[in-house]
Formats: sequence, C-alpha cells, structure tokens
Amino acid sequence: MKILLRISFAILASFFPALVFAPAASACDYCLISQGISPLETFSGDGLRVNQRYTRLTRVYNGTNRVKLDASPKEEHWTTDVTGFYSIGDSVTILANAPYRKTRLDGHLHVHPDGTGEVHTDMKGAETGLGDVSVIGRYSFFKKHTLDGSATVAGLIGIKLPTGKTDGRTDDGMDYLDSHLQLGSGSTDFLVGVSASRSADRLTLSANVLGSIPTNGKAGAATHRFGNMLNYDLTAKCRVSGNVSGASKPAVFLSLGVNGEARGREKEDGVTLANSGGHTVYLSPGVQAAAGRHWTLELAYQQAIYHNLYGTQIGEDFRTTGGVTYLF
Amino acid sequence: MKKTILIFSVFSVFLPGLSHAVDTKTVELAGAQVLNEQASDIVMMDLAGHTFMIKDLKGQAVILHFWASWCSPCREELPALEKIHQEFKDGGLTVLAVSIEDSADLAKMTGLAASLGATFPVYATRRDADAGRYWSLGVPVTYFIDKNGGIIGRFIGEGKWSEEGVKRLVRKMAAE
Repeated sequence: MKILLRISFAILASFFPALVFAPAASACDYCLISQGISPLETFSGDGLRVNQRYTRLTRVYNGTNRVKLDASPKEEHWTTDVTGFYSIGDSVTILANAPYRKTRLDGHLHVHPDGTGEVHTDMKGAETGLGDVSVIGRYSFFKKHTLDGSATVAGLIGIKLPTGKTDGRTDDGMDYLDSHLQLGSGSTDFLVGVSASRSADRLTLSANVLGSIPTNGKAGAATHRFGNMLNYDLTAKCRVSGNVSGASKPAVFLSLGVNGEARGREKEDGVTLANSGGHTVYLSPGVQAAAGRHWTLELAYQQAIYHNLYGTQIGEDFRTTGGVTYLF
Repeated sequence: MKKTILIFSVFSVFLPGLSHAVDTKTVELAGAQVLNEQASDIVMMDLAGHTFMIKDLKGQAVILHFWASWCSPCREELPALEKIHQEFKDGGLTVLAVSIEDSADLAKMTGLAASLGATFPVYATRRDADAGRYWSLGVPVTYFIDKNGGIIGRFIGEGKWSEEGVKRLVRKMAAE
C-alpha cells in the first residue's frame, strides 16, 4: 500500500513541475471537455450526468499469477450513476452521486486455508437497488490561464454514506453474498483527492487521485470493513475535430488513459481477510463528443492489464462505461 | 504616527497606477478566466482596407472579440456585445469584433453583424500562427485588454455580457 502511495505521488510529482514551467496552454476547467472521460474526473458548472458502467470478473489470481480452475467464477456489476453538480463561484463545485446498482453472482470462488480455490457453480445470486450515495466538494486552488491554454489543480473532499443495503443473499437464501456483491458497504467513508489538468491547444493531460478511508460497516451478519483505497488515473485527451466553444459541429475527443485501484485488506468481525485487497491497473481508451453548449456524450473501455491481488481472489476482466452530461 | 504618514505618502507617489489596476477578483466575478500576459500583436484590417495592430490602441481599454458567421453562439452573442459597446463607448472602451474568416468575406461579415444590431465595426485579421493562438479553442472567444496592452481576462464561449460583474470589469478597465 505504501509503495502504491509513493507511485501515485510520483505520478503527480512528475506532473506538477510540468504545470509550473509549462508554456502557455488552453483551459479545461471551464468547459464541457472536462466532464469525466477519465474515471475520476470531476466537473465544473451546473449540470447532471448519467453514467452506465459494467464490470465483469471471471479470472482468478494469486498475486500476479493467473490461477486456472476447473470452472470459472463470475461476478457482474451494472451501475447507473446519477451525479448532480453545482458550482459556487469559479473555484468550488459540489457533487452528489447516487448509484443504482445491479450485482450478479454466477459461481462463487471458495478459497481453502491452504490457498487453493474451487468454484461452487451452483452458488448464484443477484441484488438490485440503490448503492451508497456520495457527496464531494471540489476546490480549484491553482489556476493559470494563458493565451495558449490552462493548468488547473483542485482538491477534493467528500463522504460516502451507507445508503445501500448490505444483507443480500444467494438465490437459495442459504448464504449472504460477499461484501463486493452487496449494494452498499454499511459504512460511512471519507474521500480525499487531488485533480490536475493541463491543456495546450488540442491536447489535455489530466491526473486524478482519490483516496477512500472506510469505517466499520456491515456485510450480511458480520461487521465488515473495506481496506483503505486509492484510485488514480492519468489520461491524455486530444480534440480531433470541432471547436470547444463554437457550434458548427460537435467537438470530438479521443482519449487514452491508465487508471488503477489499490485496495488494502478487508476485515470481517475484526479478522483480516487474507484473500482481499490488491492492485489492479487498467488501460482505458475512450471517445467523447461535446455537442453544443449543453450536451456531452462519452464512451470508454477499461481493459485490466495488471493484477497483483493478495491471496487468491477473483479479479476484474474489463469495464465499459458510457455517459451523458447535460450542463444547465 | 507622523513617520508612518510620511512613509506612506512617499510610496503613494509610486502607487497611483497600481491603485487603479483591475484586480483578479473583479475578473473572476465577471465570470472570466484570469490571464496576465501582454497581448501578442496581430494585424487587423477594416472594410476600407486600413490596417492596425493591438499596440496602436495602447491607452484604451479593449474588448477583443473573435467570431465567425458559421458559429451560432457567435451570432446570438452580438446583440449583447452591442449593448456593452453602447454603454461604454464614450467611457474609453473599444470593441474590436474580429472575424476569423477570410478577409475577402469582410463585407459579408459586416453586413451580418449589422443585421444583428451591431454598430461596432467588424475587422478581419491575417490568419497566421500568431493570430491563431487567440482562437485555438474555437469561437466565440473574448479577451479583455487593459490600457497597457495586457490581457487580464478571457471568456471562452459566450460571455455573460448582461451581468453586473462584466459591467464592473469594463468600468474598471476604462477607468484605470
């Protein structure tokens, strides 16, 4: 976890000197093109965003090694995020996010004390409903605009509330679903992050880090606590057609990013779960179109390219995300 | 106390220009991005073929506005910009509406602006790399240039011309 924190700050540290000494660039903080093509990018202005995300997990890992079993476990997560955002002045934005989730289990990975795994293919389940709602405040404390572009750095602070249910069961009612398949965490978590972007003509580079510090929650009948989490991304975006502020035709952007999730181990009833936590990295190409002053559409695909999971666990295969944003 | 007044008086001789400078807060309250750089010079041409540069307007507060006929927010914005022009033209403000289209279309652009109620003149500019920096993000884009030729603010997209924050900014620019 400490190494991951160092990596994350190294990414940002290499970015900051570029911000300070860079030649003049164009703004991104003001406008449509910062409306979230990278997974963590937050918003400016007032508006509403609806985003649909799908994540699939079927592969089993032990550390960085892929583990082949006789059968494949399968988890699927569909999340519809509805985010409202409101700007107070030029520097402060408040965001509220409500996720509507559907989770599905189709074959459960059971790990023996010796670390070997087997898949219980008859173990299935699904849950649908409201997840945990988050509220985040974003403050831009550094902005430098020049003729050719802009650089912006913002701090984020927020809270995730325990609004999702935590007692979902398998189809046969015999077991509770794992904590990751529950709609909520049962815990109030604290969020803190940093977001930075720099634009020059058609190019924008953004870097975001968001940390989550969870508290004790629930998963089924047990007290459960997720490990500390660090989500980060570095995304480059290029405007390939159209103008940002004109309206002759939509502005279209192509993006390519690297994003990662580092999670500490979980605890259940005070006991650290050996087969939990780890680090996953994705490669994320995407496309975004800003049509007029109000609408932005986007699609992205995140391919998991690296796993380093503690113990033996199921890991993410890929994620797809698509969204629409309306600016008032 | 007397010493303090004396020191302040000595320094205040050097401060009058600074005391009228437009502060960044005024720019932000206008809803504009804060910039702080000298306007790089570009050549502009009017309908009669006369050319001039931004540096020729030193001593005047300038709203430098780039637009195009194919840009619908640009056309929608011109009447609001005209109101600012009417309110402040006798108070030391110059509005430069510069078309980014070919200079051969300047007559057409001038006619279009007039049909939208604009009485300020429309200019063409040489579409070279230096000029292109001003509209690299697209149009409409507007720069607020103070009397020393410094760019102090920018609207990307339509400006909030009817809001009091913009009028306060323009008043300060014209008064400094």
